[in-house]
Amino acid sequence: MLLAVCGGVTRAQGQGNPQESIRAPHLTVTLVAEPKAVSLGTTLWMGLRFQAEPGWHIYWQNPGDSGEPPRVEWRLPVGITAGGMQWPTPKRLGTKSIVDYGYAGDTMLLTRLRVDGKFHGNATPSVGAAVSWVVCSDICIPGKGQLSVPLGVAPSAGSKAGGIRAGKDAGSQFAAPTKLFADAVGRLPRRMPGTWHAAAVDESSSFELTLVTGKRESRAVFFPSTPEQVRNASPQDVTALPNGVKLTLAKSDGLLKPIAVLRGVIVLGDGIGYEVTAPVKAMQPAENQKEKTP
Amino acid sequence: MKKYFTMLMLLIIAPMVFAAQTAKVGEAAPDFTAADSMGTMHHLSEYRGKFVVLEWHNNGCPFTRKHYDGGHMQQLQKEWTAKGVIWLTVISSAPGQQGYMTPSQENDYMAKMHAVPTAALLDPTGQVGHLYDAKTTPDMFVINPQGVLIYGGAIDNRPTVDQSDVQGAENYVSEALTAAMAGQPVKTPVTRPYGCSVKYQD
Repeated sequence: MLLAVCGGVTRAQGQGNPQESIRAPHLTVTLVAEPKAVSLGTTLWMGLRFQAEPGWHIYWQNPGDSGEPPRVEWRLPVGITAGGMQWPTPKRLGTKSIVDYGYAGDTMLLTRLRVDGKFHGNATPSVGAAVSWVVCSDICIPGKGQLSVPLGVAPSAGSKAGGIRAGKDAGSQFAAPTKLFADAVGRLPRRMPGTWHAAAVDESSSFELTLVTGKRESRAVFFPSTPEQVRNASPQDVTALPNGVKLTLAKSDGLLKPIAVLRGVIVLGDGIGYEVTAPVKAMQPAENQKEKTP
Repeated sequence: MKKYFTMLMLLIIAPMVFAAQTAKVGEAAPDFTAADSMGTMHHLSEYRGKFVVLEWHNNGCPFTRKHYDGGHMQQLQKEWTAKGVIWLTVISSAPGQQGYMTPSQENDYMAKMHAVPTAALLDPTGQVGHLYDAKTTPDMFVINPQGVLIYGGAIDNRPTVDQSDVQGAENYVSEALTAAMAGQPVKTPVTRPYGCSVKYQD
């Protein structure tokens, strides 16, 4: 394994000679496609799989108090476009005074690719990614590298005849999603069911976030999408309600202006994360009075 | 009599409560006392009348090294101390943790790196770090001559480990100092600090 340390950044094996997988200190990064063949008008998943050694972790899009999320720049053939990164539901990591949001162990970040009319399938296409990351235990090691995965070309109904021919992996596009991708998609936060309702109240030093699910929820953890709104290291006070749950979230000292919405992911007792967008209402003095009167 | 007693109690209690509060931008910067790598004690309050920069530091952290290996942080220290700013590098790494320095190790490091802060404060108990709720290295704070915290957060707008990102970045510390010295409000008073976690003993 060839390793060179330059300016504090570990240049992982394979840089300048893209391959599907990079072994770097404390981490293996692999680029995976699902399905492994493309055809006009379809979409496919690209997975950036990070397998960290025990005790090491990477970060969510809002990393919390320290660390940085992995970054990727896609190298795409003409006619293939990439959507935004889709992040699995994170976990709380860190210490008493510094709390981070991220992933230990095996994690796959997902991106949707779309194949449009400009795509010419007359050569074996490949998708490349310039990836950088910071992997941390009690210390942090940055790394970066170039990844690339070859794709087959599958015939598609209504495609430009002749321009698209079958690649060697073409058959796989009709296969059921692999367990790897099914699991990764299952770890993405879900959209809240339409019957649920989220709302927040701006107290002077905290937000009261209420989630109505229709049943009693005794466990909940909130992950704020935007940094410097919620104080990450403060314990989240959870109150079960007959029809949902209420969380008291200490405000970040860095929050100097009122916010209109509190966005994030809320993980309930079943371990599933839900995307939450809660409009924030200023505390009504009259309402507060009413609550306090028996 | 009771009224005077209450006032007296308030006078006694108020500074204690104040001292226990963590730093908040727009409010008075909490005072502290800490020894530097030369053995000199520094009280923040003795620098009233001057601008003060606090720079949380861990020389093993790749985000810190981004700003030191190319001489960028040293350049900032040189530039601003020449303009009368008190620049205090603070090391809150606990013994045994990355970045922990004995006084002589820190002096050797500063000589080797040509670091020129006013002083490097050694805070192995994390007392000053927790008072400012410093989270990362680097985490930067700017205090104005009236003792008010006017900036807290990242050193710049490029949260990476690449030295090449320093050139052309928006440096929030220099911006805050430039604006405040010109009597202007600080455009970006708070940002999310980026870097490695501060290696506190907890």
